[in-house]
Amino acid sequence: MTDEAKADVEQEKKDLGRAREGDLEAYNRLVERYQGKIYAIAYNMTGNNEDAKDLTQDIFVKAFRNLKRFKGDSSFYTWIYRIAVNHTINFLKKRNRHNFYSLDDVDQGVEKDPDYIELVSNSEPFRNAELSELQKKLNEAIQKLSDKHRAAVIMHDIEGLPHEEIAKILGCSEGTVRSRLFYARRQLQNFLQEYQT
Amino acid sequence: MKCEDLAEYLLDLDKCPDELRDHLETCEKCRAEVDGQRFVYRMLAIKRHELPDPDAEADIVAGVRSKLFRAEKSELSRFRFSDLRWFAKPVLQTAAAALIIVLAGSYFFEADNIPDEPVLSHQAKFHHELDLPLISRTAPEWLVSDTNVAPEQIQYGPLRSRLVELQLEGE
Repeated sequence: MTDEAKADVEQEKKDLGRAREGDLEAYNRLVERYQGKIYAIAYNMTGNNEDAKDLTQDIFVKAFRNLKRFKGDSSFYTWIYRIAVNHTINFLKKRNRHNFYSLDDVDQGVEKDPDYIELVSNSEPFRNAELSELQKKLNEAIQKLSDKHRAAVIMHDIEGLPHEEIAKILGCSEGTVRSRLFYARRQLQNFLQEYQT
Repeated sequence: MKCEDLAEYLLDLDKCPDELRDHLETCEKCRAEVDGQRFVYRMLAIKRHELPDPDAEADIVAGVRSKLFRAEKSELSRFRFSDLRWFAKPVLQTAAAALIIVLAGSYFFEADNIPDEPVLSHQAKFHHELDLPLISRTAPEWLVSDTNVAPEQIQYGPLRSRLVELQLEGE
């Protein structure tokens, strides 16, 4: 671990300690540090920007109110991610229909991504489609998955979390995570097969 | 390696073990499965490059602050019965016990005082212990005239009365 990373970990510990005592400034630093990740899981799970923002706020409020219960057995990141996934799944259960999807912008870097380049060079339907169309189809396909399968795909294939971490967050075995991921990808393949050569 | 084991090997697509490579050379079905899984992973690159709504960051920080502030404010102003748990439990238990004692006591007290014999219309009866007169609904003439009780002082009805004192003289 670099000196910078160590200092970062130390700062997080201090902020956590202060936030537990009710220091909102310290907690704000934690919010700023993790809001991007939490927003991403909420956005990818719901497919909606406004819902994702509201959910992210609620998740951080809920975490703050339960900070005293955080024992430090896992990292703060794992702990708040677990709250985020469970809170979002509960929200989706209450929401009866997916009435509106929003599209976030895609950065320029996607065109240099080896996976994207591979598809552009090998798949004609993919090459011919507009990026926004692909994005829309992807969002719709992801929303068709069950909450648990969706969570596994988002955390592993989009957010890049390792199986071990996902297992801790979802409270299941690594084998279950692998299995969910496998079947989720298989379903996605069916939904998106028009773009596969 | 068997086809059923594919799921286990597939997940780390870049770390394709020799065992899997050998199997894929001979099994078309598994090759198609691997291609499908790789296709999905590659297509998800688009999601990996999505940028959050530019206003999201500011909205989230401000929203968390305001929700925490509001929650704190309403915590202070809200009366919660749960706060009284430490207090309410023994108080309620004591009150329930007291109520049972009072009800039981009044039942036995009443039961002791109810005369076994019916009150006759021409009789004024006295309870043995309390010396309380029991006045019948229709006080007879002789009772009124032979006592020093004015008619308006006599309470009629089946109630025991503590308001009058009867002095019975003669027969």
